[in-house]
Amino acid sequence: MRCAEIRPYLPGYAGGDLRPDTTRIVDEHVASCHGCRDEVARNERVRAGLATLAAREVEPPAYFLDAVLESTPARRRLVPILPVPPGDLVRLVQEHRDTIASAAGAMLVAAGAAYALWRAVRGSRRAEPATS
Amino acid sequence: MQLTRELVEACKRGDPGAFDDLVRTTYRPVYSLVYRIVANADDAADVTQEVYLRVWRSLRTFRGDADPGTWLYRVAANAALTFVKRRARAGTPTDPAEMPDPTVADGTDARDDAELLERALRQLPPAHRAAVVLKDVYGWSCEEIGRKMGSTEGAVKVRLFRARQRLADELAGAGVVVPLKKRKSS
Repeated sequence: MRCAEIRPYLPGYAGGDLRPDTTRIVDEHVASCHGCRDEVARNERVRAGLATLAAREVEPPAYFLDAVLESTPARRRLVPILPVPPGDLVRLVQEHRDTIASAAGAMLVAAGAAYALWRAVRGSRRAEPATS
Repeated sequence: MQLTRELVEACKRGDPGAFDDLVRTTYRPVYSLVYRIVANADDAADVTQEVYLRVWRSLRTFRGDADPGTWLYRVAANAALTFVKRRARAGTPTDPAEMPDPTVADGTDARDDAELLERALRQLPPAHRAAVVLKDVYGWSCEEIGRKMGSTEGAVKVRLFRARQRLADELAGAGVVVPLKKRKSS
């Protein structure tokens, strides 16, 4: 076979990725072709070099580790919305139920009185005659 | 990668600080894998963060029959491939000219084969780069790569062979002389 037909197979041949029958054909050609043997050697060198890369580490950006650690769910904390733990809040309400009810009642009466006053003031303003 | 089953089990139990330890132990190799596939430092940082979220969510399903390091690499590769596919669909290829050139952790800037290959990898089309990185750097099978990339094994091999050829051309272009040797016939 001619070199042009063999060459596309040489990277696979160098990596042992060809089917046995294809490998035999390339074997026969490479044994008698100086140029394709050279090409196979180049591809073998590439594969050998690539195999060493896994042990080499690419240096991440300086900020990287802290950013990853901060983003992991293990680091995330729920921000407390209540000033006291929920259990303590329930206990406080139960212990001061009467006081809270009285305070709520007083607030309700105050709100009602304020609303009545506001209505009275608004009504008196409407009743005033227009001045020229 | 030095990720032990004990550490993974500690994370599953929710031991304080265990997940931080997992991240500290593994973030460099995970980032390296992701970077080699996405070829951009900022994207690699984002995708690696996503990797650890995925790891957190899937901790319960980790049964311990797989090697924890292999499991973590698979999560990382899946996240990186998802990113590459999403970017390809969006039609926003990364411009290699804008890519930062990270140093290697050993602090050297030697122009050896590995350094040249790291640079040449970044110039490959994303699908070719993913195929050659996963096969020749991390030892995945073409079948598995095809499954993850939504391609046939044959399509993966075509990308793989073209990627290797281009890398060989890049090395030759950089003046790396390969000594001729007689190949053993098999």
